[in-house]
Amino acid sequence: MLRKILLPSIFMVLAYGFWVSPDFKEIAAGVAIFLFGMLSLEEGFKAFTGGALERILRRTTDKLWKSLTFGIVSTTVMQSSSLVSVLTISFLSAGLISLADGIGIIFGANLGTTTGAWLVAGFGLKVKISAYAMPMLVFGIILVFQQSKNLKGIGYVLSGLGFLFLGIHHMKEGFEAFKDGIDLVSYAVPGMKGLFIFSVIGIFATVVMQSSHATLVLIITALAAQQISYENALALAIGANVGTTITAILGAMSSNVAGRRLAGAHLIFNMITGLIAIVFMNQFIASVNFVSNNVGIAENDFTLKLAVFHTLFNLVGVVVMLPFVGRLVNFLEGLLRGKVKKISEPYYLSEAVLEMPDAAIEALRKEADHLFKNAANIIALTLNIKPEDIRSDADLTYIIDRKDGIVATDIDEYYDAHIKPLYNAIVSFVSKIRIDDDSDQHTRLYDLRTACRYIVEAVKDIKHLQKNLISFSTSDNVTIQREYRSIRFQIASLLRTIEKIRTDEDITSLSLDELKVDVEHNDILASGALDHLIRDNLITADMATSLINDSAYLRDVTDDLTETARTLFTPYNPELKQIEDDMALLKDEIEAILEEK
Amino acid sequence: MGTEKLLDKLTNVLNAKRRKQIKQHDSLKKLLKKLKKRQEKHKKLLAAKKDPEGRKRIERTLKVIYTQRKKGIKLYKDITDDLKGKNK
Repeated sequence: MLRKILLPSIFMVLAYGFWVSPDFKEIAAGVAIFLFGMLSLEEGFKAFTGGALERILRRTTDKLWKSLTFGIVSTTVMQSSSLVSVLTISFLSAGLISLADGIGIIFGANLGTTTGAWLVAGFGLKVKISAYAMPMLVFGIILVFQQSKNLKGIGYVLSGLGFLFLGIHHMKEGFEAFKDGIDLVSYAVPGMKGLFIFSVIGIFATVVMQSSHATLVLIITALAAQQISYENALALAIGANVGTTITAILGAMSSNVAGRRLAGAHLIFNMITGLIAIVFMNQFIASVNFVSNNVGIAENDFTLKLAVFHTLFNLVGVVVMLPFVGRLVNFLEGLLRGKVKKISEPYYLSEAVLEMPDAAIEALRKEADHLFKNAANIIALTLNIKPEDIRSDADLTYIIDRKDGIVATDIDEYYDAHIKPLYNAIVSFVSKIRIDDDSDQHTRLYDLRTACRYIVEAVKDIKHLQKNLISFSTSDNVTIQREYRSIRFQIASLLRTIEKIRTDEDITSLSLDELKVDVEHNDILASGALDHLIRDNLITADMATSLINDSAYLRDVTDDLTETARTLFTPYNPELKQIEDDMALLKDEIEAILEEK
Repeated sequence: MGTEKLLDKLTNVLNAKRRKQIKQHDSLKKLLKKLKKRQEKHKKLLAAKKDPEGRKRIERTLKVIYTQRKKGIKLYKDITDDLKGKNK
């Protein structure tokens, strides 16, 4: 209900304001242009970084201080804590970083975002920045229309900065003109009451604009035009800090429980920081004066003093909260418990990870691994082997021989329950990922999707094998019984080797050639062993045709699983892919190895 | 740093193909080291293995690694020559 009336109400208030005051119109247009600039800037950084930001994030968040530094630096460079928050939620949802690392980044982003106030107060208001805006917009827009991804990215960044400057200019002009008509400072509320009222206004303004940066610029320009009092400006800045958590909360709505925990941490941090600032306001004002005097900020330069205040109270917040990160993690994990997911449900795929290609690809890889585990369990059960026996070191010959006959497993039921829903979710997820066709990320995405198809095909092929595996396992003919036992052994052995590949650091995608050679070595058709069985009347013609068909299915299953392991479990290195393909054994090289005595 | 070295470094930065080759060169070097390590590991396994079937399997693995290393070393030499400007 509230959501339904909120937008029309905002429209009506704005329309009334535009009708009553042309200056208000200019200020509002300034905010709109500024916000558009922010969107353009974010678009630029997303395109321009081409995964670089994500790679840095993956490498630099293994320690809390590194996460904190990453948050500060990335937010300072991009001037958008929202982009950093969304990036962090995506990575957390994909399981690439821990909650503690994510909290470190968010703390850092809170500090990094305070540089915006410094830039606007120190540079934006003292220089005629609209003069820089025009050429930036012209060059930026020309670059946006270029084919090259990097040039396009630079174009978005340039035009974004141009719009930011233009927005600030219009806000400044609007407040200057406004001053001649109405003196807003006469509405200033002193004392604690004013502190709370203006904090709430700051929260509300930031929730509506979804940018604390825009709110701060608005506060600074209004303060520069003396349209709000210094004390009320400080309260508005506190409100903007709390209100900015709305971006993370909205981002976390489409994320899994990990993303929601991070949004919770963001809200708790900003609320506590805000409360500290309100409770110790007098001490903060005294500290701001002290710092300002020491760094040469003029007594009446309230805009720069606001920037000092903004940095100071966020810094205090970080210092106070940093020792409690561990407890905060425990608290949030206890408060927001994830529901236990069924084996058929996707564990890692969520809308939130779609925001960042690297996070989306990693989530897809993990989900493909989940699909593989489900498939491996079904295959093991079809062979009449417990999945945990595959993962153990127990002798496979003993495991296969300890039971007579095979209990039929309903593969269709398993497929419908454990494979199909997951595969459907993966296919749907892949279709939503937006990646450039000519990038390494696109190749990786294609490989992962293909690996999932191989997994599904392996399950379907094992179903074809099942009928004869059951009937011949209790056959009176010892030879055919032995051949089907060998098929079971080969598949079980392959599953076990793949399990080992997961944890072996020395494994490269080339190691899978060893599996290929084993498969070729055991191929009953290629080695001529089948002809020998028929010629010596060890099996009937009917048994022979079954064995021929099933050997082909065995070959398909092993090929599918080997290729899956190559994509999912060997280290991915785009630079090495071509070389590994060149070094992989060709068919004649495999034959030569098998022929050598 | 000499002018020639500086120009060489600048060429590496500006030339995308060369940059890719340098990355491939480094990655291949690491890969060859890994294969060598794997070969040594399997040689030790072979020396300890008694049963004929198990020995045959390890021997096959060693042949696979040997063939891959042979191809890899040739590729490594080609890329090194390319980077030194010997392959025209």
